[in-house]
Amino acid sequence: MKAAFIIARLTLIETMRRQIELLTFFLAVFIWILPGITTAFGLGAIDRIVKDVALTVIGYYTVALALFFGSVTVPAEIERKTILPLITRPLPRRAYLWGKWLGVMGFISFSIVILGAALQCSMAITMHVYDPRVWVAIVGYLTEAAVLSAVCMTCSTFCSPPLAGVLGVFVYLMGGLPDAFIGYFLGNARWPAFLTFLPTKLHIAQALKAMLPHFEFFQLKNSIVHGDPIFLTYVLSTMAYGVMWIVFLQLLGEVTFSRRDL
Amino acid sequence: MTVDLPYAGMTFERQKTNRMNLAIETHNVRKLYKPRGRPEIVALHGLDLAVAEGTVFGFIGPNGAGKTTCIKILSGLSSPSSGSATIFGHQAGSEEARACLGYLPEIANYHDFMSVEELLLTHARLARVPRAQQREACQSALEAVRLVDRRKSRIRELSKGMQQRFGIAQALVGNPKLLILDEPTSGLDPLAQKEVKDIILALRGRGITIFFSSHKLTEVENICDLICILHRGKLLQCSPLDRLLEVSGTVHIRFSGASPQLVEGATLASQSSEGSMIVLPSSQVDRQIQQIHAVGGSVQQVATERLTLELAFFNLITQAEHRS
Ligand SMILES: Nc1ncnc2c1ncn2[C@@H]1O[C@H](COP(=O)(O)OP(=O)(O)OP(=O)(O)O)[C@@H](O)[C@H]1O
Ligand SMILES: [Mg+2]
Repeated sequence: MKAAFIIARLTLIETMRRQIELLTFFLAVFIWILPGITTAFGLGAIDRIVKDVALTVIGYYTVALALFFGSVTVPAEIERKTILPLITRPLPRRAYLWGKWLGVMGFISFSIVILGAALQCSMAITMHVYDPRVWVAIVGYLTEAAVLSAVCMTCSTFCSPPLAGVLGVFVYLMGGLPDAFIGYFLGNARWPAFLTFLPTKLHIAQALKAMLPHFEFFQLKNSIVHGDPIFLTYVLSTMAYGVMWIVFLQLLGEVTFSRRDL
Repeated sequence: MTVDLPYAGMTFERQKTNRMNLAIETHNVRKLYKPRGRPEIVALHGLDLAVAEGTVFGFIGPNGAGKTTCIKILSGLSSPSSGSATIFGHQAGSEEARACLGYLPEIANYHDFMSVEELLLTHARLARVPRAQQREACQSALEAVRLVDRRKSRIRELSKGMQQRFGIAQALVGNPKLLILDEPTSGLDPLAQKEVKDIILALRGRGITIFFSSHKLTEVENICDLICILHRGKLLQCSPLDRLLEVSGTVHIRFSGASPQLVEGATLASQSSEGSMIVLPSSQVDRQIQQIHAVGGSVQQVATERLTLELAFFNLITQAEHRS
């Protein structure tokens, strides 16, 4: 496992030295001035709107980071051939994959904490509000990003980065679709007459969804914005659910990656 | 003292007795590439190699011969389609095997956002150098490739040749028992090429096994104990330099008596009453001597003309091309 941390450190240093964190700082500035903008428009329930907008922005940003880094980090290293001297060291390929994932997650965690802190500080200064539950939403986002980056990384061990990204988007959308949504859009659709022996699209969509990680479990934003109760046991169990998926995906990635010629 | 080096062509029994100190052994290694939608390529056709510990092994062959493929299999970057390869008795690619080796890739790119020292330290950690010795290991690797004064530079700030030298340093930093270098002198200026040669010679003095591929035949000729010529994935010759040059050289037979029938490839170079001379390829010597005896002549001298490695290489490759 020590080797995985060395690889993670290298990955983290890479993202930092390529100045990708500047994007995070740019967003942090936006979140910082958000209460000011909202107040200027004179809308009611300002703290709720600020939290909603800021957390939505943070959510999309972490998803984008997970999709991008998850699908690019391993193939880019293979493409540049910087992987060769690393992988010929006495470390299992598994450790390399875990290291890459940890590095990506290190960067995402760093970004999301900066953004969370920016939100809390700006709300505290301009509205004298401090809501510790914002951090719960952030934990949810982090778990979501952790699973999504593992999905993309696993895909990237057997397909190109753009395809891994597209597969990641598909898994994210499909796995995050509420059942009601699937039912509404697909429930009445039927196959052409000659294919009637197949199950309905609804069943296929539901079966597909059942096999994918359920990203909606990690969505705590709405409850937090609307002040609904969130139980610690729920948060812990979603985290455990996320960890299970991550371990499964990493094992899957290892199977393809360990056979791959570099 | 003469060292009896194992090489392809040596009997299996003898190889078995030396197996304990074999740094590299491959047995019938085949590698097939199956690019999608295109015909498959057989990069290695059942390669058998045995390299004793402490040997400097030169791996030569034309472009596309399969050198890099073989090196990648040995260093665990790719796996053979069939056959087996071991490093110090451990299966190639296993952690134990990789713990023994330092590797310089053919196309070397390093994490260019890191400084020389940082990246070398990272490699030392990955190579499991004990914490207390990591800095020292980096220092001596940097000294060996004369990069000490650039230790704080980012890799991207180094010239191509310096990056190649860094590559050698990272291969050395784990104090490996076996160094696998894929074209270590490509892209280096003549001075740096000589430095690499000196590094290899110094490492040989320390008993490190060095397996390297190169297109620079004079360099191979100067530093290798054992040379292997690969052609289209097949081993053409694998023997100590002296033997290789003799085997692939031309032989002069001086004889007296009636003119014999000349075998294929032989020419009558001179003829006089004291004796005549036939020049022929070494592979035909036995048959020609039989012909001389058949007409009642007697062989006075058989002398081998030594070739340079370059000539031997050309001869062997041309013969192989003719055969195929
Ligand atoms: N990834 C790959 N996919 C398909 N074919 C490959 C691949 N790598 C190598 N080959 C093929 O395998 C054969 C051997 O290639 P290899 O790189 O081992 O040659 P080499 O002896 O190192 O040549 P060079 O001296 O040019 O470096 C070549 O025909 C090459 O086209
Ligand atoms: Mg090559």
